[in-house]
This record gives sequence, structure tokens and C-alpha cells, in this order.
Amino acid sequence: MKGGLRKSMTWLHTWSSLIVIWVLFAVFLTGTTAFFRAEITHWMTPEHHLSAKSDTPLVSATDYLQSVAPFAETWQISLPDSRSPVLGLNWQAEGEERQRRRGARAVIDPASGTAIDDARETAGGNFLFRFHYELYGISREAGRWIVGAASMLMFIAIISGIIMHRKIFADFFTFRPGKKTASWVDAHVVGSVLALPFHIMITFTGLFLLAGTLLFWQGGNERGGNERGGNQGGPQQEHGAPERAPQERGAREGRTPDTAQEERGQKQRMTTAQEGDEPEQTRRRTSTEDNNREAVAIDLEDLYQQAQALMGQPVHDISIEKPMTADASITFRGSEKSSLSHFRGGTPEVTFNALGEVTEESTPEGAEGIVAKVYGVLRSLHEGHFADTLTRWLLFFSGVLGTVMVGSGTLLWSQKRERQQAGQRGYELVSALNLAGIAGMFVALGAYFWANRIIPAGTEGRSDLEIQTFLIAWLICLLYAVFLRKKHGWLIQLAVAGTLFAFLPVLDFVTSPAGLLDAIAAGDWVRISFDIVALLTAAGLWTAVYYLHKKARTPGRKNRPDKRRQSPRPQNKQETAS
Amino acid sequence: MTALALILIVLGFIHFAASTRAFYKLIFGRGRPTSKLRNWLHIVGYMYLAVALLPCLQAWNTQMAIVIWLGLLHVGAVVLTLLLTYWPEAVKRLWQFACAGRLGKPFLP
Amino acid sequence: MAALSGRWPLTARILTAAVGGYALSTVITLLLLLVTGFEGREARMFTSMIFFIAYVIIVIVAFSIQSHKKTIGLIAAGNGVLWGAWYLAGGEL
Repeated sequence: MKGGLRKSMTWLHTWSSLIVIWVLFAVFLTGTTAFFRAEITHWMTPEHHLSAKSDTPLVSATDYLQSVAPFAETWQISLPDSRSPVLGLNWQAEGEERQRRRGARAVIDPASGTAIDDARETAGGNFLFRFHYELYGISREAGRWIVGAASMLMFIAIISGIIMHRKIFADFFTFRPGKKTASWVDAHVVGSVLALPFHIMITFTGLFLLAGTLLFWQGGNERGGNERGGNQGGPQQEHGAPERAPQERGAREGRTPDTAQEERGQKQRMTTAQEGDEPEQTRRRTSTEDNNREAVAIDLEDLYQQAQALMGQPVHDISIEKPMTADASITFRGSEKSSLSHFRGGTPEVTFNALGEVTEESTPEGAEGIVAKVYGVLRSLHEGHFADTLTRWLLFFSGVLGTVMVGSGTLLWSQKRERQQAGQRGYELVSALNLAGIAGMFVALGAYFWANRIIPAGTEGRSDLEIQTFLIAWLICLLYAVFLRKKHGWLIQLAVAGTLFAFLPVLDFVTSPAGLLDAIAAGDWVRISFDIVALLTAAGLWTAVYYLHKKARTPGRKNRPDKRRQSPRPQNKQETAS
Repeated sequence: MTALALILIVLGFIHFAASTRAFYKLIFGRGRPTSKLRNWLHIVGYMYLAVALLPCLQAWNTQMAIVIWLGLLHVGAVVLTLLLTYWPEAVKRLWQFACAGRLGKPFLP
Repeated sequence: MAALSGRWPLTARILTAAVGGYALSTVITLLLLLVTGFEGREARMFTSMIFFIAYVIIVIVAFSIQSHKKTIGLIAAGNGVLWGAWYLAGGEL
């Protein structure tokens, strides 16, 4: 039975992955970049690049809020962090109708205290994030079904891959570049086996995150219409019982400056929580407006220091109710979760009143119950909200390995069959899809970033245009792959992708109000890292081009020794930013 | 701390690599690994990996430390694979200077 | 499985594993929910995790069995028995 088992598992592994492999590649590529979506969005919003670090972001924040919304009901301040150097401010004005609409908000340069209100409209990293579980241009349900089905097949492929690989440990560290099929096998093994824990985790968690769609028989959505209508946000933003802290935390995490949908979702959540209070307050307000509006000076900076000391970790965001009045209530939220079992919320909070006394302190315990704990931890691992910079890079690294695994898998399949099957329909189809699905994807990604800088900032609907550029670029690659791939298809598409990425940093500094020196001076490492990764991606792509070119010029020689891993496959880092 | 953990992980993996037929020759010259040697090397290897948790625990709380350790395992495995492919002499040196598994070799077949 | 020969038997097996396996995973999950008594959010979390574990195991097993007929039979029978048990236990979708 052993021989039989391995054979069936090999068959299962090959076919379960092959039929969806290009979807999987797209999912992995965009999903891996999505770990850095806030950072990517920052890169894609050059108007934010002028923001400089400041020692007193709170002063900038409160000054601005006082000038713009002194009589607001609530202020929210999101402090700059390692993912975004700007200050995010939100406020709800007095008596403002709580509806599902964007609340008043502004993005501030912490150093100068001025609002950046001409930020270009861009989907930023969030397009890539949503694409990776919903695709684009088709209904959300359909997209999730496709990604979900592909993920299930991948899960099957992983398990069957493990069973079929008899010498899984013996081959562990083996990589033999330069040998045609063996190199691809090795690359595939390196990508898959060495990151197996990650792959199992990410696939399994990806599946259960899509369970809302895939398990259609699960009735009763407690989560308030998450799957339809206004409160869209995808798996990452589902919410159960509305508690204020997790909601706002979710709001913070989900938000990147320019995503209308998520903003709307958050506003709605915050709204729901405060809905109960509102009418009463409004009544009180209007009748005693003059009396209660005495500005009460509150030393926010001092409270901030206290909060940090009490929580033992940096403050992430602040909300102030009835600011500048004697009834003010100031809540500081920490940046580190107490436990991974909280995939939302889970950070400590300290609340002060106007007199500077602590009125509330909470440090959430881990989730209750073994099911919630396991689920929470796994979900956190997939979504990565908890991740600090190092962890994020580690997740990204594993994601890159996953992308290598998928790409090398399909290339391995065609390499193996090249001789016998060239010319046959199935093989040709796979070859074309490989070219478009892998090289073409990189071209599309590069084009997306270029579109971000080329399309003028004030253009109507420019975020859709950026996305369309992505799709059109990919479509062109597909057409080329179908009709012209024999004419150096790989060479050309890889070279195009390589060029797009290689010049991204140049494009960045030329089309942004802040140049390279400014970025360094401001310590904008998010942006600089993006550019570095773009260069690394370009390097990988060009290495692939070089070796492809060499191989083309010496027919018959099968050797392709190569620096990174493979030849025609451009993998290693993808741009993404950080 | 991170660097230390990563180094320990790579060193641990070297032990595992040394126990495979493919890389035994690199480390030991001629011959093949026996199962006793393999067991010894695996034990030492696992110990290195376990010890690598300590610097992680130093710098982060328990849960994060484990996550980071797992992530570093992935990185370490890839690093070693690349080293073995492109710079095997380095691996040999690391073995000679930093791998405790070496100490057991004279006592084993 | 000896040789994966024969288009139709193979197709039948694939369909059975996919659809029948889905149904089987569903009923297994539902029965486990009954047994464990989880409710509400906990139930949802439990379901979403258990379902896919069950499904992947079923599919793997479905493709390890030698004969197509046996596989299809097993999955059909499994569904019959377990769904019967489910309805007997008073469950509804």
C-alpha cells in the first residue's frame, strides 16, 4: 500500500494545486505584500511624506483639534507609530447625527501641526489586501468562494505533499541550483518544507477566516450584516458584541488614511456604541451650552506619561470625551496586546477624568475558553495585527517563501513535461498561464505603483484608475502570454517588471514632495524600506532575466547556476513596502 | 537578542544537516552517518533550538517570544540552506568552532 | 490506488470526495457541536476550525483508498449514517 499511497498522494498533490495554482500565486503575492499594507499606503500617499517626527505629537494634535473642533463631543487621536508617521485625528461634533458616514477626520504632520488635506485618493495597500481574499471586479461572494476553494485545495496539497515526500527530512537543506528539474524541485522544497509550519498555519487560518462564506449552512450571523452592505470590511473587521474598546482598536488597526469603506465601517461601529448616550448628551449640551463650555485645561502630556507608566507600554491612541470640559474623560490605549488570543482589541486601557485621576484601568485577560483561545491565537497569526516590526518582517519572509513554493511548483510541473508535452494543449495552457500568472503579476504590481505616482493627485476616481492599471497591465501580459510567449515571453515580461521595480525609488523621490534627504532626515523608514525592497525585487527579476538570457544563448546547456534560487522565476522579495 | 537566537538556530540546524547523508561528507569527510550519531546530533540540534528561545524570552513576553522564535526557525533554515549551497566552507567553520555536537563524535562510530 | 485509470470512475470519485466530503464534514461538525454543546460565537469558531480539519482528512482518505467504488460507497454510507443520526438527535440545519 505504501507505494500506492505515495503515488496517489503525488497525484492528488499535483492536481489539487495545479488547477488553482495561479489564483494561489496571486493570493500569496498580494497577501504577502498585505502584511505591510499600512506601509504601502503610506508610500502611495506622497503628501504624507512631508511629515516629520516630533517629540510633542500631542501638542500638535490638541492644538489642531482645539482650532477645528473645540466643541466636539469626542476627539480621537492616533499617534504616529512604526507603520505610519502621521497623526490621525477624528472628531464627532456636538449633536452630530450618528450615521454611517465618514466622520470628521484629519491627518496631521506631527512636527508642523498642519493638516495634510490634499492627500491623494488611493486604495494603497488595502487594494492588495482585499484582493488577496476577494479578488476584484467580481462580487464579494464569488471572490471569496474562489479564494476559499483555492485555499482548500492548497490545504489538501500541503497535506498530500507531506505524505508523498518520503525523505522529507533527508532533503531538508538541499538545494542544488544548476540542474534543470532538480533545481525547481529544490526551490519548491525550500519554499515549502522549510516554511511548513507557516504554510499550514496561514492556509488553515485563511480557510476559517472565510468560513462565513464557505460554510453557507452556518446560520444566524450575530455579526450584524458583516457580509453585506455598509459594514464591509472583510474577515478582518468582523465584530461581535459591540464593545467600545475593541471597536476602536479595530478601527485603528483597520484604518489606513485612505480607505473609505473601512472608515465608514469604523464610524458605524463607534456610532453604535455611543448611540445610547447621544440623545441625552445633546439635550444637556444645548441647554447648558455656555456653562459647560468653559475650557478646562488638561495636561494631556502629563496624563500621557502617567498612562504609559501605568500600562508599561507605549500609548497607541487616545480618545477624549467632552474635551476641554470638566466632564472630560480621557482614555489612553496601549499598543501591545496582552494575549494573542485577542485578534481584536486586547490592549490595556487607562482612563482619566478632567482632574487627572484614574477612573478606569483595564488589562484584558486572554480570551475565555479553549476554543476562543485557539481561534484567537490562530487568527492573530494570520492577520498579523499584533505584529511589531520584526515579527512583520518574519511573516513577510515566510510569505515570500510561500510565493516561491507556489511559483516553483507550477514551473516545476512544466519543466518536467517540457520535452514530451510541448505543443500539447494542456501543457501550452499551463505555460501561458505560468508566464502571465507569475511574471505578469509582477508587471501588474509594478504598474500599480507607477500609476500611483503618474496619475495626478487631483484626478477624480484615481484610486479606481490605479487599480485598473494593475488589471490592464496584467491583461496585456496575459494576451502576450497567450499569443506571443514563444517570442521571449519570459524575458520580456521579467525585464519589464524588473525595470518597473528598479526605477520605483527614483520615481518615488522625483514625484514626492519630500526627497531622499528629507526622508532620511525625517526618519521615514517606512518609505525607505519600500524603496529598498523594490530594489531587491528588481535585482531578483533582473537576475532571472540574466540567466534566462544566458540560457537562451547557449542552447543545449542545461546548467543554470543562479545566485538566488531559480532562473526564470523571479521570486525572493517582492516589493511591498514597509 | 534576535541575532543571537538566529545564530543558535542556524547552529542547531547544522547538527541536523550533518546527520543527513547529503551533508555528512562536508562535515566529517568520508563515510556515512550511523543511527547512533544521528540520534546524538538530533538531540544536540534540538537543544540548540530550544536554547535559542531564551534570548527571545529575554526580549519579549512569552507569546511573542514563541512567535518570533518560530519565525526565526524559518529564517534559519533558509539561511543554512543557502550557506550550504553557496558557502559550505563557512558551515564547516561554524561546525568546528561552535557546534557542541562535535564533542560527541569521537565517542561514536 | 492502482492506476487512476478510467475517466468516469475517477470523476465520480472526485465529485464524491468534493461534494460528499463537504456534506460529511458538515454533519460531523454538527454532531460534534451537539456533543460539545458550544453556542453562539464559540460555536462559530469551533465550526470554522473543525470543519476544515475534517474535510481535509476526508479528502486525503478518499484518495488513499484503492478502489473508486469503495471510496464512493464509504462516503455515501458515512453521509447516510451520520445525517440519519443527526436528524434522530433532533438537529436541524
